[in-house]
Amino acid sequence: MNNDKPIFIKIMEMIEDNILSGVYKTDDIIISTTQISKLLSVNPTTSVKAVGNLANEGILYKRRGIGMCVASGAREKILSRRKKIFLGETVTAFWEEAQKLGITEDELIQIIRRKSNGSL
Amino acid sequence: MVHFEEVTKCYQHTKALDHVTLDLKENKIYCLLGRNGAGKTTLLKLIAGHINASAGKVEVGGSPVSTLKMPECVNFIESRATQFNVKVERLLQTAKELDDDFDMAFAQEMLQKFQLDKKKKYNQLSFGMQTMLTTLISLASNSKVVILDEPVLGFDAIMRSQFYELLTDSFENHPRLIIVSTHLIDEIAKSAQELIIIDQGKILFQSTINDVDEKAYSITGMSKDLTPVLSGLHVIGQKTIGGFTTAYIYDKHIEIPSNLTTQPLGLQEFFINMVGGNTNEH
Amino acid sequence: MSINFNKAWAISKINFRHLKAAYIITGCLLLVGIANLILIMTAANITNGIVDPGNYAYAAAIFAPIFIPAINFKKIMHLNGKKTDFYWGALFNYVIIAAVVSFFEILLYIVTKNTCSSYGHVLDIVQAFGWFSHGIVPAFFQQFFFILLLEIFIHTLTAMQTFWFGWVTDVALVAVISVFTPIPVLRSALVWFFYMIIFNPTVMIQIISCIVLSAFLYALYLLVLKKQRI
Repeated sequence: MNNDKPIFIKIMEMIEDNILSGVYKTDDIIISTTQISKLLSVNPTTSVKAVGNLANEGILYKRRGIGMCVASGAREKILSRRKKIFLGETVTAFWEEAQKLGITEDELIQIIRRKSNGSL
Repeated sequence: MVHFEEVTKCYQHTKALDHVTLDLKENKIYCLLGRNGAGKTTLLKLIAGHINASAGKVEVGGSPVSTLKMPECVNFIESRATQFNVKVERLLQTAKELDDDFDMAFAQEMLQKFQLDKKKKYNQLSFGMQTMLTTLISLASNSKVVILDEPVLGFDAIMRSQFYELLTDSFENHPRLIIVSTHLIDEIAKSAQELIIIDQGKILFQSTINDVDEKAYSITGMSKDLTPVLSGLHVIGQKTIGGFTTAYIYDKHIEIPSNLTTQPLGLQEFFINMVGGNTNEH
Repeated sequence: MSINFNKAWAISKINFRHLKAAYIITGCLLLVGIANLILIMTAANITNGIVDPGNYAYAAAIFAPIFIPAINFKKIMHLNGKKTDFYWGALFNYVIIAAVVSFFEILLYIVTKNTCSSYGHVLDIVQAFGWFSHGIVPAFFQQFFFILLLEIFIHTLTAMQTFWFGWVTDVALVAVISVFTPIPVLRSALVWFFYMIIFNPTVMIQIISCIVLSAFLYALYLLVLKKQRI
């Protein structure tokens, strides 16, 4: 699944994950776009696009002459955005795939229960 | 078909090839990759009998190769070779006279496809067209082993794409052993079936393109998150920038934890890492 | 080393097609020579020596063995020609050229002698070498084998030029001529050499000497060919 996403989305997620895990705290300076391009061997415009999107969503802000920093409330914004995607796309895809495979609603609930108590 | 055993070739003070052992048995399109001066052209010239090895055995079709007994079944013309300055059609006829198996119909078809003017004399053609013609003559020879050294030198994008079509068509019609040496790595990836990487006179890697497709990838993440994941994996290169590390892997795919990102590795990047492009960056 | 006649002959034909420079040089010289003759005849000029234009035919036998190894060789290799085929093909070229040159040389000599001898002495190589003393037909063959030797010598020497031993040979040849000539003992060796291949009064000895030396030189060329890198 990881391979199909466009690169700028992967870059966004990489930064978001590190904000969620606490590696990047509020007001921390994140990795620069030039560094991202070198790291992932991508065109600088791609990294600029990824970082720009995050800035537009209020997750990052720019400090002139310094770089992009983590905005306050970034964690919450990321979580709420991802929850929306989860409930919207991920659950729908999960449901539709289950339908395609003929897995019933009861079976699905069983599966979730087993996953929860660690037996799956 | 082509067999090298502990072959070494020295030029004055440099070792162009160092104890190379290589076996090309099947009819496939082999891609030979290497940096400038890695030994590609030396290797190819040895197969064709244009030069002699300093040590070791070179065999083609079971018989040893020498500069006098140049193997009949090998066709190797360097793309920058000088040709008789005659009309294109005359040149093709001459090629036919020298080689009964020359596929004139195929050659004519390709001339049309590439809009090469038959009536033009060789020296009147552009550099790209000259290379194309020489390559065409090689491919039309139907020899059991065809060697193309930098066949797309000087070609524009469209001619290159047409060449790759020509290559695949020719191979489909007459499956044989074709070795292509080129610097345009990602482009040849679409036509070649097997990859040979040579570096500093030694064979660094030999496997199928599919293998590289499946097993070459990169993992990126925070340096501390990455290290535990890498243990046991065949890492061919690493880059560390700004607290993050990208590791280049040639191995089976593994489950990647969600805080890491993975990308498939293109042939060119795979090659760069294999010849040590990313081992020293910090 | 087996001979593939078809392929060798194919290469010979290709060589003949690509000797324009040699043909032009020879043609020009012949024209000049013939023009000179006509001038002499029409102007009724009595001169000391009239050069038989037939001599100029030798130009073909001199330039062909330069262009064939120096230029045609690699272009033929670039069209996937084989060295072995080239080896024999070039030999066919030289045999044919030697025959043609010998024939025309004698033909032109006869024409010149019959038309111009009243105007002066005709200078001719065959005459100078004394080959006419046994008749025209033996003269043809004596000249033929000599020309063949000349061609093979030039061819082998040209082919060697890309190697260090080629230059060494050049120097050695110049040295032999310049050093041997003044020293009586060495000069007689030199004289003997030319006696065998040119001036020998016995036709068969002259011919056989040429053949032996030709064979030796062309065998030497085989070694050079082996070393030749493309």
